Amino acid sequence: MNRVIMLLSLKPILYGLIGMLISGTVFPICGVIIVRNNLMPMRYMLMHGVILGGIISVSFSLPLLPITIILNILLVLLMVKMGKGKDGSLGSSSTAMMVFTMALASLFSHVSGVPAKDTLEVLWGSPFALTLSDLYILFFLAVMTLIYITLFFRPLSMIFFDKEVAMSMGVKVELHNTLMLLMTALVVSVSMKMVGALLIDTLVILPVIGAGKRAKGLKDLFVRSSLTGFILSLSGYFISLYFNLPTSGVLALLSVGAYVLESLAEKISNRRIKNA
Amino acid sequence: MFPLLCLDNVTAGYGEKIVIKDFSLTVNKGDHILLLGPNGSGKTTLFRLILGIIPPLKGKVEYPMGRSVSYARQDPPSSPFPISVEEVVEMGLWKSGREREKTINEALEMTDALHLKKRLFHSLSGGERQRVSLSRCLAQNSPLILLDEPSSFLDRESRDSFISLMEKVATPERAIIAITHDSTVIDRLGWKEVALERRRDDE
Repeated sequence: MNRVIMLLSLKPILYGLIGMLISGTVFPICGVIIVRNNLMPMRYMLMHGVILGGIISVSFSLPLLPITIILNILLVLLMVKMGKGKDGSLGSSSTAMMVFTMALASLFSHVSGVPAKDTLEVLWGSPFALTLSDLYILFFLAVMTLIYITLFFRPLSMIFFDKEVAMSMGVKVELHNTLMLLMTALVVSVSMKMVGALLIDTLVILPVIGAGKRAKGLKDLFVRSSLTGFILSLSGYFISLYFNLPTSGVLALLSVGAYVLESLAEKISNRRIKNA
Repeated sequence: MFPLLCLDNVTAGYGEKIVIKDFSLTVNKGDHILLLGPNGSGKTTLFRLILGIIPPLKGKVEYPMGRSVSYARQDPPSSPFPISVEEVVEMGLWKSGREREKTINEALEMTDALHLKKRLFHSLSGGERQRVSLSRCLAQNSPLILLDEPSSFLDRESRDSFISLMEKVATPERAIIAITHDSTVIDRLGWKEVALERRRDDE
């Protein structure tokens, strides 16, 4: 324990803890948006945006986070401009943009002479790599997310419930959809640096899917997801420090464990209702 | 006579396809209207026009007393996403605290759905979902309610009880336009009928 306390006196460890706590608490809120609006395919596009950002950042010795944020915002705006498919989803345009991003990443890597394996480090991420300016960006993003969800909870709940009903009540559905996409782009960009692409679902998606099994309403879903994310990130971080293990791996394992427990609790509860 | 909605020679459709042509209708406070017509005659398009979801291609849509319309769709969403009945009913409300609670309870009580308040919307039966959707419209307290085929997914018993509910909420204070194909609904309610015809492509 003394070792963990001693480690916390080191700046990268402390920054990592602060980063994990902020993102663990606030990012699952964005996960609710991703799950509800079925933005799962879009996050692949955003992850590839981060890889392209990684190549550009290495080529020009630029800071990774601002580059990936700008790139992902541009990708989202391009995707929105391309429009929805016949099924009303952004699946087709996000796939096209993902391929476009991969092509650019491949060409850029070749032209600039940056070995692809160097940029693949981005896929793993690390909370210990967070700088003070990254933390400012993270804090700003978290505050903006909370303000947006709090101020627009009612219109958002209408959109989540039924877009046509929301439109009939005067909600600007297209504007909110674009804002939600941009927020997702920002969260994915920042999460990549924290836990890496391969484990992004750990922090953003799984807490929501797990919490959704027992949530009693939308507000309850937001609170439960956020609480789950907070507990997971805090415990995952300390366990990884204590046992000297990679944070992303520990966090992912805990997240899957929490999901399995939620599923079991749901099954038991359903059985009780059936027997009553 | 308090006109709530005036449709003046409106033409509406999607892109090149015209669904409604030169249609006029005035809805006054206390009017209760059944909108009839075969599939493809533009009943739902007319609702989308009234709700401002699509603009008219020609003609005018006016709300002399301001635009305040509530709407319940044919098949209320049933995807398993956790939204409670209470949250659905409060969607159209801009009140808080006790007043909010009171309005929600009154709206649910009026449709005999108060016992469903804490349930998840997607866990309800078709009839219960229709009742809750109607409660949301009532809580919104709009003078004009649009109901898109409210009885279409209901069994006989639920439909009978929903017709009684429609009779109950059809007060002189509010206007209701309901789309229906259901002859039992038409016969039992006996409301004013407005029919839309299906347009041929060459019209």
